[in-house]
Amino acid sequence: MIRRDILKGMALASAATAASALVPGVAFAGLPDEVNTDIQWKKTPCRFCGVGCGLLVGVQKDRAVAVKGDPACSVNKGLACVKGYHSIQALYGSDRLKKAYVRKDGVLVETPIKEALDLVASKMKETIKSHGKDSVSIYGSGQWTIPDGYCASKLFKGCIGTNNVEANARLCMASAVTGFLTTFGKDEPMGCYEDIDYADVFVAWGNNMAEMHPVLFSRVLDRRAKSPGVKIIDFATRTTRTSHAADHSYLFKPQTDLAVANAICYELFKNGWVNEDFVKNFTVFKKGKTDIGYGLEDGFAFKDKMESIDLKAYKEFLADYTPEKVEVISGVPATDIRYMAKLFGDPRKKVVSFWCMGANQHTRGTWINNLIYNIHLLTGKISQPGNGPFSLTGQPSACGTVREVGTLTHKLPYGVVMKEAARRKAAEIWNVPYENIPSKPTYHTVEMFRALDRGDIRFMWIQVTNPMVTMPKLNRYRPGAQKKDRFVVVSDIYPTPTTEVADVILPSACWIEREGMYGNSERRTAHFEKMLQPPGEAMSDTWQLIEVARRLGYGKQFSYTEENHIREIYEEYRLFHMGKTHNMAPYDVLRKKSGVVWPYVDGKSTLWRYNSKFDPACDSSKAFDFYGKPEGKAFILARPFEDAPEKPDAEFPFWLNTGRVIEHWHSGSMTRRIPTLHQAVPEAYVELNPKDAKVLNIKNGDKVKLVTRRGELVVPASVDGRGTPTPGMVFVPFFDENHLINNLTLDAFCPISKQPDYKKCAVRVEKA
Amino acid sequence: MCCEGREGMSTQKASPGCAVAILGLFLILSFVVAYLVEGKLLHDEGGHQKPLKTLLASPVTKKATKVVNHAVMPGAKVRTLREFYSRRAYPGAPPVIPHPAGREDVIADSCLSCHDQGGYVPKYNAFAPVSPHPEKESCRQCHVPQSGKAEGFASAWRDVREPKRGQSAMGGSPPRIPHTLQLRENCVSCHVGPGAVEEIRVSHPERENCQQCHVPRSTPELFRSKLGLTK
Repeated sequence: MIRRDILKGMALASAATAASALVPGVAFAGLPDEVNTDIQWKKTPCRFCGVGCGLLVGVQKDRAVAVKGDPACSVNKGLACVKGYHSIQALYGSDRLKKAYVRKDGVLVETPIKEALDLVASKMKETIKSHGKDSVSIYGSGQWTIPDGYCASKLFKGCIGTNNVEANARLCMASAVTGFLTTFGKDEPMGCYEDIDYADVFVAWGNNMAEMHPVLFSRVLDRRAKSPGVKIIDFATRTTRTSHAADHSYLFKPQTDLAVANAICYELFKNGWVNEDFVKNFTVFKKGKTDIGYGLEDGFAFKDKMESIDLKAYKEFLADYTPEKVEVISGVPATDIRYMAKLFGDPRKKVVSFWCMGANQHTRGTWINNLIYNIHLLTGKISQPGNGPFSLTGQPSACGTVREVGTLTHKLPYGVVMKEAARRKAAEIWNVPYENIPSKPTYHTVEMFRALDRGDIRFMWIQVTNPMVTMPKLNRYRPGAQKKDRFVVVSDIYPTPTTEVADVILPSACWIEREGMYGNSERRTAHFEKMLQPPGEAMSDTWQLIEVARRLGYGKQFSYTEENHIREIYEEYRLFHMGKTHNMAPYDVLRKKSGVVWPYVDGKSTLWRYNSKFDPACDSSKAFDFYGKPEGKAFILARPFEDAPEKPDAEFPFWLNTGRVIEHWHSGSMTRRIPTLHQAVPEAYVELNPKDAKVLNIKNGDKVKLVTRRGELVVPASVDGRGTPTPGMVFVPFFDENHLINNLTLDAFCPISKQPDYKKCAVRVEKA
Repeated sequence: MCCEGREGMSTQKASPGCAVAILGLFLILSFVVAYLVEGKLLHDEGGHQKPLKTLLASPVTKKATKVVNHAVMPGAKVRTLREFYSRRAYPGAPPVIPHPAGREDVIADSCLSCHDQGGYVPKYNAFAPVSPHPEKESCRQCHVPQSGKAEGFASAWRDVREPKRGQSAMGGSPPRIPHTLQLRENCVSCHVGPGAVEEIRVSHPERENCQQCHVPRSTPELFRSKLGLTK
């Protein structure tokens, strides 16, 4: 409260008191309502998904008591979803971690946090001394706030001098990043959510938006309700709530989205629906390597090589993908492929594509991202209100922290470690010697956990994520983390399967118990203040990193003040992004607004990048300027259909698909402690197609045993439940730590993005 | 200093003199009101109610018409305020679905067939509550059923008190609205008709413009402009 408020409050309160004394029995509440109202509403982005809804949290004394959607936030305009409305209850589980714990003789013992931080620092020093810099690592998340990720990168890359910085966003949107970089040379969507309000057609590519991005999906439904003729197309491998709400649902065989996307491009040419001017002026044709592998072996390496091709060569490439040929591969009738192509091709229709994990968790994830861009580039339906490919993110700050701060092994806050200029810029801002920052990336996430298993990594600090539920092929990586001579530090708010493997547990402050910022899918950076005191000795992840950095001797680089460190860190970070292509709003602006979209140039957000009408970074003599690529021309990439590494066979005859449900967030460590959400979906299950269930004589609720080459699991069956997989596929949500489906999944990944495919491996299904 | 903003009130500099003046004004007003209330001058013609038919002819209460139209069934189950709040994590939270919720694979399984207009549901021997925002299609985005059988983690969540009813600013003046209007702009849906909770059913559904007399008790949105800027 500033001084004026206090004075005002005092004056009004005393007036009311005087009035009450004069006229007993008459309440003078028309005067200072605020004196009586003890709930204060404070703005924050939601804790959960990448949509980034603005919420108002009601705080009464020292507790959060209520939530409503923030009407001033353009993302959600006052609406939220069941997770957002109940989000604050995630702070109040009875088993919140309030103290640090240190493993002594195999047992976790409560320890003062200062001592635990001392131990973390000394263990790091010791490990670096005995095994080298690249034996220590940090593994964070897309739920890291911007300052968390920034401090982690600065400490590990800048000060210690190792590129062992990764985040769970690698498991979530790495293919989106490489898709953007290969096609446009710059990460993140070009459009914004406002596209929804102008589009005529929505295509959801393997994306159950109704459950995973519910508030945006409601905006899509609202658009359709108000504008006759608007169509929603669901293109998926499993029938979901999105399929039922869509106007058309097309089911394809797993992995064959690649073929269908190419068939759509084939049809665009065949019917003269290609926007020739746009293609000629703003794109070039390229191809990359093929038969690129799956990363199943340790130390797998792959480097793509782009080659220019001409239009003729590209059309020849497409000749393999006639709708008839692709019908055989994908199971999607040729007429349906033609219909989709027509929707994209119709010059009168504005089209938005949405996708998320279906396209990204894919052993050809980069390729399917490229192929969706191809369709939008060939038709010129991009970077304009209502027209655009829109890659959705899963986590609240996958964009803001992991992608923009760059908490991945190859990244720096600006540019990549391989580039000297990027390293020089970072060294200057970080106040560290240029030589400190190594020029070679080390381990991406899967390889980092393999390195921990092998012993190349000896120390790992895990913050805001639960890899012992969420890594694929857990039957390898859990024992790997528990090996002798491995030291695992886990910062979290609840006990989880990951804290079970920890040598030190640091209690973290959660979300609005500290100050921070998240960045959502539409490049919106949103600030939240500290509204509540964290319990016990819990400390923000940012401050934990600062404390350890100081103990390691980097006090000079981490001289932030306790009162103002979030402002100081953010303003320092902002220096990396100065300029028209990525300028970020100043701290003071963030505090006032319900999120600000970057590039923020001359006090204004750029809502459609690469379009010179909206984007001041464009060469204004051209209508479009994809300035991430030479001559401002985006790449249309010839990417073929290549099959999945492990397909159903006689021994393991089903596809295993995994994912989420609307009620639960990721590994469930928070949402399973929210009574309403837990009671709604108390445990995991396996969805079967009713036909398969009949053949196997499995009824709803029966125990089913799932077996893959890596592990097995018994779960109850769900037939005619929330989702219906295509015949020959089963689906299991991964939120339930009591039913760890990731013991069974495969750690194959996209060789370009290194993002694992959680949606496809072979499984046997038995009645248990 | 930002979003909790208690600013935006017109009395920027409340000097003691100014406060006294306001006070005087309030005193006079309250005496006038008290007089009017005591003198029953505000009572409608002779205290007897208008026939129901006339009320229902009003176009603005179209929605209310349909709701009110159901004669209350004697013996039908009536929701209590206690039940009303037991279905919400906190006052204002989206209520859970307290009955078997039908098909799970859709965003809404004909929820609106009962909850759009209300009406008697023999299966539950009760009148369906009416949704204040039937234009929202994806019901299960916010409303979820409860299995009721799961053992869960213990929670230290503390319920907050529900808003007090009948909070008149002055004796006898129309009570203020004790809750946010967000997603609940349609007063009639919750305060009128047999599906409404008895304790909060309004005594004069024929009045058309609720906010003519009832104003929100707290309006935290006041200090925010449409741009989301703090003034």
